[in-house]
Amino acid sequence: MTGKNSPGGSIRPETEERLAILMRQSQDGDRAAYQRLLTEVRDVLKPFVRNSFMRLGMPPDNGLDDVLQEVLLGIHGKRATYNPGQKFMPWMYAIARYKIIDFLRRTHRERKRFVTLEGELEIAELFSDFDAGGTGASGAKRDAEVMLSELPDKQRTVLRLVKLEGLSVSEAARRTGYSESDIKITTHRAIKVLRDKFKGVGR
Amino acid sequence: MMSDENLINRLCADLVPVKPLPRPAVFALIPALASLVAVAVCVALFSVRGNLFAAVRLPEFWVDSAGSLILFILAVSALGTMSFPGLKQRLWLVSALAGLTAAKLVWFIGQSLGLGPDETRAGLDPVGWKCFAMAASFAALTALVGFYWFRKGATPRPAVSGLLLGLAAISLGAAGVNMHCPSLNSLHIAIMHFTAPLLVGLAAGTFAGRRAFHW
Repeated sequence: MTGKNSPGGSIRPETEERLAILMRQSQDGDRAAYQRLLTEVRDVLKPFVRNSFMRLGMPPDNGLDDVLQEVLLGIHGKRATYNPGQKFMPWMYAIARYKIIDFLRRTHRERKRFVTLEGELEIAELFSDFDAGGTGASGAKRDAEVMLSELPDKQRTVLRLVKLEGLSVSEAARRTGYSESDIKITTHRAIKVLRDKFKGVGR
Repeated sequence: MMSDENLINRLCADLVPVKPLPRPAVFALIPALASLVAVAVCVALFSVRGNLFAAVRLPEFWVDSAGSLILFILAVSALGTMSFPGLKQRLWLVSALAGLTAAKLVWFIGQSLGLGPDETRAGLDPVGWKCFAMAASFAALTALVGFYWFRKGATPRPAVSGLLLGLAAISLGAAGVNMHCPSLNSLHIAIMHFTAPLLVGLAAGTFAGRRAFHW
């Protein structure tokens, strides 16, 4: 069976039948059946999620496992919405699609927020010109160091890694041991502190 | 992050038997009946319009009240289907919903064009805002029931579900107010009973649906 009901590629009718039976048994509380169902669902959905990511221009390593787990959680939480008389695959793919879209929306929002942060970072960079002697690269860097010295340890470390050393958020998170969201928030706060501190200087 | 195997083991350990939700039509019928009863009780408490027997002889009454009730039923049915992932929305249902809403608005515009200046003023009479408030209150009652109930489902489109719930709630609210308000002024009915609450209801439904139906 291919087409609308099997977006991940061709699905054999016996797979559909088997998964539907496992789902019915799971609704009755059969744990062994549920274990088999979830394992099979994960295997069936992995290529589907990867293809969806690629179609949408997202690198598959960026959240594929998260989405798969969210789909499994979605199936678990909403298993009562599966009607035993209904086909299983369309139900499963509808949940997967919803979770993928939800994930992409969230990621997009976070990315937008980070773009804003980066914008603020550029503003902060302008402050590095507050010293007339700091127009050259080394001067700007020296000025940046002066500004960084105004920050608390954590903010200084994070801002130095992200901006001066050019590390990505995930690299900075790995290096410092903070979470990625912590890095983003700390960067944001550091920029705010600098902006407030050096507002109007050198203009 | 937890490994897939660990997550699957955890979910299996949490597994308890669940009763599948009833078929979409039955699933939608339950909150629809609850809302109908709640709004009927409210109308009875606020008193039924005195000129009901005179009003039922007019085609306008049926277009307003029966049209609103049909819209309510269609919107709740669509919401019921949408609460089950993988079920395709019936095209006729969506077309009927859109067509009927548009037809109702066109009917109101047509009616209002034939009105004299006095009647036109009556549409925005300050007293008319009472009807707006009443329609919105009845709709809020329906919306509360709907948000509580349809969260049991798993709509893949929370915003659209919210919009449908807004439409259903306002339609039932309009039908309820038509049973209470004795006015036969088309402009008043068009604006205060249906159109103004509808705009608020659709916006609020979409906004709240995004949050309430997210899962």
